[in-house]
Amino acid sequence: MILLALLLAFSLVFSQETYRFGFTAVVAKEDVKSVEKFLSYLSKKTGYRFVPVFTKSYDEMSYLLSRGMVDFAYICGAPYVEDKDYAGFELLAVPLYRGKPLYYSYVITRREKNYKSILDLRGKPYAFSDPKSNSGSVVPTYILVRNGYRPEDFFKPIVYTYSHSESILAVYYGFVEGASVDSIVFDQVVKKSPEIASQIKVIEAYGPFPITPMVVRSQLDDDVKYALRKVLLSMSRDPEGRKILSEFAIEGFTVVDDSFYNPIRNMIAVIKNSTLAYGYEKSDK
Amino acid sequence: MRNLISKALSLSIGTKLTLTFIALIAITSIPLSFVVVQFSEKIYYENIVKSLKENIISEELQLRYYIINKDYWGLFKFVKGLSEKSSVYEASVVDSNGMVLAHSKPQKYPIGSPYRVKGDIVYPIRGLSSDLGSVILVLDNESIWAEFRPVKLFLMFSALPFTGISLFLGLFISYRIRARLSRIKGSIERINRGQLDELSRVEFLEKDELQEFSDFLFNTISTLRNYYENIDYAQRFYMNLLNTINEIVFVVDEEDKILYTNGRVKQLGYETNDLIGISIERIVETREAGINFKGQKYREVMVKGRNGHTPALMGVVSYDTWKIVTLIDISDRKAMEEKLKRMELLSTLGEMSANFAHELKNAMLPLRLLSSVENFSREDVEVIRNSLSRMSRLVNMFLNFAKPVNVEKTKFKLSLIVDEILFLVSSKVRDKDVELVKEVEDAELITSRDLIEIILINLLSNAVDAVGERGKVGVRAYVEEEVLNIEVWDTGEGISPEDMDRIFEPFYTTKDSGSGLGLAVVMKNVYMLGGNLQVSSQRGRGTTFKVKIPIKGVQDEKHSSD
Repeated sequence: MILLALLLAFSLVFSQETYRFGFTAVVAKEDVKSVEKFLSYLSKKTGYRFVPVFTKSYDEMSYLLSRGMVDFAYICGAPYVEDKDYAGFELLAVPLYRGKPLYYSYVITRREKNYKSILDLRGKPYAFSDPKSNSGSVVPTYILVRNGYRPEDFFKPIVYTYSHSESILAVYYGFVEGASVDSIVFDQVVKKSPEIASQIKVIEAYGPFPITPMVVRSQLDDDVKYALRKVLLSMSRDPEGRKILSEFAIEGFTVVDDSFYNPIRNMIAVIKNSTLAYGYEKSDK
Repeated sequence: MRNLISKALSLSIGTKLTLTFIALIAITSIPLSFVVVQFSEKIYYENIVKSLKENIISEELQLRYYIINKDYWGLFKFVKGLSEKSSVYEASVVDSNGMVLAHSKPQKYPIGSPYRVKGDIVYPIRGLSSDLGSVILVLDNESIWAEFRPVKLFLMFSALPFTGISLFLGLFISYRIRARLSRIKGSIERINRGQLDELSRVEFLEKDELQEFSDFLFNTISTLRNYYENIDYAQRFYMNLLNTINEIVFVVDEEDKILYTNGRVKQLGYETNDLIGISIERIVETREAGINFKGQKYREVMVKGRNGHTPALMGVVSYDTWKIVTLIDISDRKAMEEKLKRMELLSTLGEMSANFAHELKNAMLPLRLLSSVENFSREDVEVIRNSLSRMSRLVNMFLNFAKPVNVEKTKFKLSLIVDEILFLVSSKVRDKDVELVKEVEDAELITSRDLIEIILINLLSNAVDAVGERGKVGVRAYVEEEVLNIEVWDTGEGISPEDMDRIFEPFYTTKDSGSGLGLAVVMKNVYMLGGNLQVSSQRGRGTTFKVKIPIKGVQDEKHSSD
């Protein structure tokens, strides 16, 4: 479902080639301004015009990519692993988080709570972001399954917020006792909403895991892929680019192989092979 | 309570008006404010409920989707949004079993906990065949009323400016009315002080009842001023008129106190103001029964002046409660009368002289007859003594005639005096051979002997003169009911009717040798004795004189002539 489609900057020439850049729960959707800055920076550097497309779930984004309705997308490692073949996209570049293309799955609670582990939250409402999210769903499911629990039974209930930042809010409001979130998004929130972050603590960090990648539709013209990758890789060397990157709590981009995401493939495989994770299987369909 | 009412009634117009304004405002605005506040509260509350419901309705589709998909986060964001409204205390979405799907206070009501609170607003979310759940809102009444409080206060005190305005209006109107009333009062007070000329119309800006009232007063006072001027003029006119007439005029009240007198009292040496308020009897001396004697309209009175007594003729006209008393100075007239009386006396003196001489001659007659007698018998001596006594009396009487006679009352026998008089005329009787008929009661009287004698002698001597040879003369005297009756009759020619009117005039006589004073003297004497005299005469048959003299009256009163 298309939540929002914005036409950007009329300063750009109309005859420019236009590409749609998809954003998912990997970035805080509230942070439209950073997205705009990012895209206008790309436009300036490449000469192409980029239009943002936001979806609620990774499934929607994969679908849009498969239909050619989105050309680029900033998605999560898990949907990359699961959907790249059927939807026909490939890695464009991966962000550098704390100098590496790796990130963590944080277990967060409110500051005053005494939970020490995700396992202490049994029978409590718990927030997952997207069912397909690596840090917000795959990782906690994997942990529970490895501990012999079925997540749907373990939490009462699992609350899907379809957004890491909203998972943080759900914890903040006390609607859920805990949540598994993307460490990059969490760092963004810490940076931009310290009053919220101050009420929240990270009780566990799982990982590191292969970071959320930027993907491109495989059928897109190589020149475009190349041009964009070039801009992304060189972004950290440019003060303006660095400033924009910092808003996303990343330091730059690099390029990795598909095999880089094997750890996630392994976790998903473990989950799928377990009899405990019917919920996950369900969402897999 | 009655006290309070009377106190309230006697408040000034201004205060009354102001109080009335305030009371009116209070009566109208307080219940009105109350009703408006109540009504507004209701409307306000209903509006809040309505807007909240509309909020829910607008999200209904989405809510249905959330519930079906167990999108707790979506539901939570919805209830969280609702609970952000100040009017909402808590908001929740429960499933069809009343279990919390999302609650704005998640720590208290986590997902899946039972929610038994009876909400202020319960809005069911319907599926196709059954309720999926419902949205339950508990309203924060305190916050709602806190929000409404300024409105409520405004509504409650919105009457205040009107109260203030009406207070001001009341004070202003009352001030105007008082100011206007005091202007009217001021103009009346000037008139009251007698400054009638300063009367002027009071004119106000407001052409209302007060103006009418003021105009009415002005017109009334103008009319009264004209009346007053007319009356003043009339008073001066009549005063002047009264001062020009000769009479002294008094107006006295029921108690004879003098209310008014004209300027003529100056004649008596008084000033007008000296007499006002004093009794008129202090300056008017009446012979009988004060001024209120009903017998005569005009009476002679004596008026006490500063410089002595003045005779006056008093006239009294009585009205209901007051009288007009007029006094005419008759001292001049009195003096004239006195003169006349003296003249009469002088003429009477002349007659008396003749008569006296005649009487004296008669009295001396026995003496002359006895002078030829050598030796006097005892009877002769008695006759002489009587003659002398009579002469002496005649002389005395004559001497006394011209001066005021003090009628001395003596006690005597009626028959004796008749005999004496008959003796005096006996010579005439014998000369004419007159038959004398005498019927005299032997009564004792106390009255003026001299006056009776003079009456008798004159009537008898006239009777003897009136008859011819062998005529008859009669005398009859008796006392009846304290009245002495004396009748003298004769069988003479009688008196002609033309003479009858004049017989009492002095100096009128039909006799050759008469003085014309005889009957005049009789008349005077009868009058002096307070009696009356009747004469009846038939031509050719004779004449009868009847004298009636009240003895009692003579005895009681000491009658003196001037």
